[in-house]
Amino acid sequence: MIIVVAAIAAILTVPLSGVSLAPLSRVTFRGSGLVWLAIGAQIVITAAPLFPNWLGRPLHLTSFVLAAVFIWLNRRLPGVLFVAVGAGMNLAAIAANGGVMPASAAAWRSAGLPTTANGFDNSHVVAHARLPWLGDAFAIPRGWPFANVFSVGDAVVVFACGYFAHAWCRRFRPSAASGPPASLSTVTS
Amino acid sequence: MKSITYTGIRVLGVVSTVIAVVVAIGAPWKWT
Repeated sequence: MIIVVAAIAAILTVPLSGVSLAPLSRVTFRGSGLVWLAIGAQIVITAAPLFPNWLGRPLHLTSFVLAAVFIWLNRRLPGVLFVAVGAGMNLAAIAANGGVMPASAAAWRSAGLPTTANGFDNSHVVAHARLPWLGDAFAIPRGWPFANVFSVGDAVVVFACGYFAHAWCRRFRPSAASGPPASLSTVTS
Repeated sequence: MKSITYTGIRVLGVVSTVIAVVVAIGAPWKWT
């Protein structure tokens, strides 16, 4: 869950920098149901015990296709290009390895994750992985909060979240160009 | 003029969707 925590922290840097998050209320996403559908599919394939690999792998890739359609529908929002880049990096690694995110053995050990899998595992150490540098090659070590593995694509997506929140909220920030408040104009004139 | 409650709920909805995108793209395989 380190990626989720990092994304929330990235969004919270907006109010911490003195800018209100209120303008986010004006955002209208198109096709947001696709994202929830993708999550639903991923929860099923990762949480269901002994979920078969032959079904889990194509469903895993399908969930990325759903996310990709959502990204395309919302391509005009700020930062979505970065989301697309991060998602593309993860998708490339998963697609190149038959539907599984290849993890670095060192990162996997460092995070203290189990070495054996029961049923479908959407990220695991893959022997002779393709595009290993796009896989889960980094780790929050065991013993640290939210110890786990993550990829370059994950980091790009987290950055994109922060970029989106900052760019959108600053777009509606009152600027100096609009002139001083009426009360101040009265004082200075 | 939108109420603070309305704005707050809308902001939470947007943030939830943003987090959902992060989960859909990057996080689920970390649910070990």
